[in-house]
Amino acid sequence: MVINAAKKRRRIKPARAGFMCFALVPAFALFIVFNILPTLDVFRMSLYRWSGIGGDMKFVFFGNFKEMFANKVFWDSFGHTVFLMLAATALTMFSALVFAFILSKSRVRGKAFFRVVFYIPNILSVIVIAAIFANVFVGEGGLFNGILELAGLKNLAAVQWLSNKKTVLGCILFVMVWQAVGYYMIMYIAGMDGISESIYESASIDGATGAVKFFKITLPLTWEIIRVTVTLFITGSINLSFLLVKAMTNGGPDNASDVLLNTMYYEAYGNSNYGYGMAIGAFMFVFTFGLSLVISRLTSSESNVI
Amino acid sequence: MKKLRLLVAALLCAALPLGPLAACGGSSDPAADPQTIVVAAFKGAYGDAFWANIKTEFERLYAAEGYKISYEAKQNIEDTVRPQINAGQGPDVIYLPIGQEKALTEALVKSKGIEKITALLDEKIPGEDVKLRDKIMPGFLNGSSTNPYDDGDTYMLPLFYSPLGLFYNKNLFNADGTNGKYKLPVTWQDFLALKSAVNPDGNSVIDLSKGEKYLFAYPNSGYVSEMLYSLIASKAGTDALDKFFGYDVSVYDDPNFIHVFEQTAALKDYVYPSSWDSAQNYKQNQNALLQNNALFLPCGAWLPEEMADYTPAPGFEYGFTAHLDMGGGRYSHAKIEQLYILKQSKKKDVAKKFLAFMFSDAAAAIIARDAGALTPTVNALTIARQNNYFPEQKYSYFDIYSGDNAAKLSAGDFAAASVTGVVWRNTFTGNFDELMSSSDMTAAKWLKELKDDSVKLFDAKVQV
Repeated sequence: MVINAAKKRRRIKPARAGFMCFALVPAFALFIVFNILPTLDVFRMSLYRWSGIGGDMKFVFFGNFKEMFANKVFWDSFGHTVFLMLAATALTMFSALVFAFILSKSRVRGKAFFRVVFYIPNILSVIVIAAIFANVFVGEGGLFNGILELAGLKNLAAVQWLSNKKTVLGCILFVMVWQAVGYYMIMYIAGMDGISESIYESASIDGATGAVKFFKITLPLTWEIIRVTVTLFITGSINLSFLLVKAMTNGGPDNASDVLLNTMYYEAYGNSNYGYGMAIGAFMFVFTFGLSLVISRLTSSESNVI
Repeated sequence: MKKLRLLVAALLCAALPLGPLAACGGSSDPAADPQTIVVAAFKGAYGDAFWANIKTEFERLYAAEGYKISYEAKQNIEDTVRPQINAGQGPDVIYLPIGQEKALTEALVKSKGIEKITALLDEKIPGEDVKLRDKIMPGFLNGSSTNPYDDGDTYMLPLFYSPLGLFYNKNLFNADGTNGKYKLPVTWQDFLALKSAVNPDGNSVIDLSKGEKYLFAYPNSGYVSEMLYSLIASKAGTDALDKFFGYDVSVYDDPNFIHVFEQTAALKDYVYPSSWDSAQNYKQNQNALLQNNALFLPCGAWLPEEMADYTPAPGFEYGFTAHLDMGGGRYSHAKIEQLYILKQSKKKDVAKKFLAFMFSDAAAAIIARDAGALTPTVNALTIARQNNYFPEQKYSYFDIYSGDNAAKLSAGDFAAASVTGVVWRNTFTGNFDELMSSSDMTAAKWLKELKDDSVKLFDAKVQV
């Protein structure tokens, strides 16, 4: 489409084209220096054994990668990253859609109020959210355990949620969903508001229930937005999970909540193992790049179907 | 007109990439002056107020030579210093304790980026007639905290020190356990004997509402490590502790060494449960001591100041004692903070004079007055006391190394080594959390994991 539009425009004079190139040079140079070169440098550094400081670097070729693929902590962290990515995406998208549907298409009192309330987590900084939920999940006197105790679940109320290997990842997942749901809900509401009421009315006349309207009208008509948001969220969740893990548990207890970016950070700085950290970084880059390709491939085939 | 516009646009475009570069050049660069050394300092619990007076005093002392200091003190000094070092333009002197999350000092040890200063120890302190080696308190210049490569050479100096021991509520204890008070424990056995006093019905659940108490709370598991060092020194000797620090696995066959780990398992059910909860703020755990919910808390001399905002239970008064006697006397492990010269510094001679100056009486007075801290020099405590620089109770914490019941000093830390995937902190203190909170962990399993990691780390120890 872009090419067609360009063809239609009048031919650009060579002098003007030269000037345009000249004007583009600075931005392009900045892009190369601050984006492309550092990325390439990650790959270069991943081939070295280096403490991260000073000149004492040793070329080890794929040594760091070999070590990485043989390392249990790496695979555990990778597993946690993928789990959080998939589970958080599914839960966030589903709940955001349901809430958006309820708030835009049903007759709930105080819709505007709920829209604001759901959106609030999104304007809080991740550190604030981490601090709030550290207090919610505290074993002794935490809000969550207080609620469990009120509900009569004495045994559950004694669990230290963030210090228990079995529960910590679930807590991080909950916070991720809690944080993101409002933002995506607002996006979906915007999409749903664009659907004409008349379609719903005619469906009602045909006897459609709320659920039928949701699956047969709302979902198909907001599908475009859903596809974009899923891509955004999946790539964003890798960063979000790192921020939350860093602030809430730092990967503990015993790596039970470690995600790849956290392992990378620890190895590169805490363990003075910079080259290995960069190997994880390179792996992450390839992984997310591949993931984006897969998602965009899925979306393009979808757009052919619809 | 059109041409002019084009020219302006072209110039603006050309200037765009220069913007970030322009920020790099400073007008007066202290690093360029051969008489000025650049000091990069960590800003921790002792603040940064003392640096201004240190600078004034040092520059006054060397007015004739014209030596000057340019300093920067920041909590995240690593972020400033790391790129500078990699660009070959690092500071001359760094004060940054090991054990920080970004582990810059450890990385410098590993990359051999720190200047050897063994010869400096035999130089005289500026303005005094005493050698640096004799000025620093005995026991502080051994071990990997100052000699990281196990080659007998010193690379780092201990700038501050703080004894670590057990805090308790003075009004709950007396020497013989009469008048309804607990007996202040001296040995580990005395300590465990308190179990029946704090939990008379003997069941495993401590019920605070019935007046029962926990024996022990800890801010977070990192604080347990110094307690273990002191107990190992007492039971298995400082040689065993040095082997432990050097990842020498022969220590894992020492029954005395094993005994320490087995004994700590006996604390299970008597440790304040929030201690191992990573969601819990460490100050909340420290507050358990102030509220009389737990009898003992391992910490350093800074605790009362750190907890100044909390209201303790009525009648609470801080008491401080060395770690318990497990057979070989009582030890208090001293936490020290490292000061060193970068190998890439081009002004090492001035930097060495500065390092020696930091252990002078003049510097000790400034640090005691402005930072409320002590340098580990033979006179520092006396200077602070004579000038009333500290609140009264604070002297007693530093007194634990002197007098009739003097605790022995243990110092040192783990050797510099890093192996991919080995998180020693998890294996060492993280597993103590596990031991206290879960029946999945046992002392034997803990020891095995420590030994397995030690085998790997021993081979990766940095050699000069």
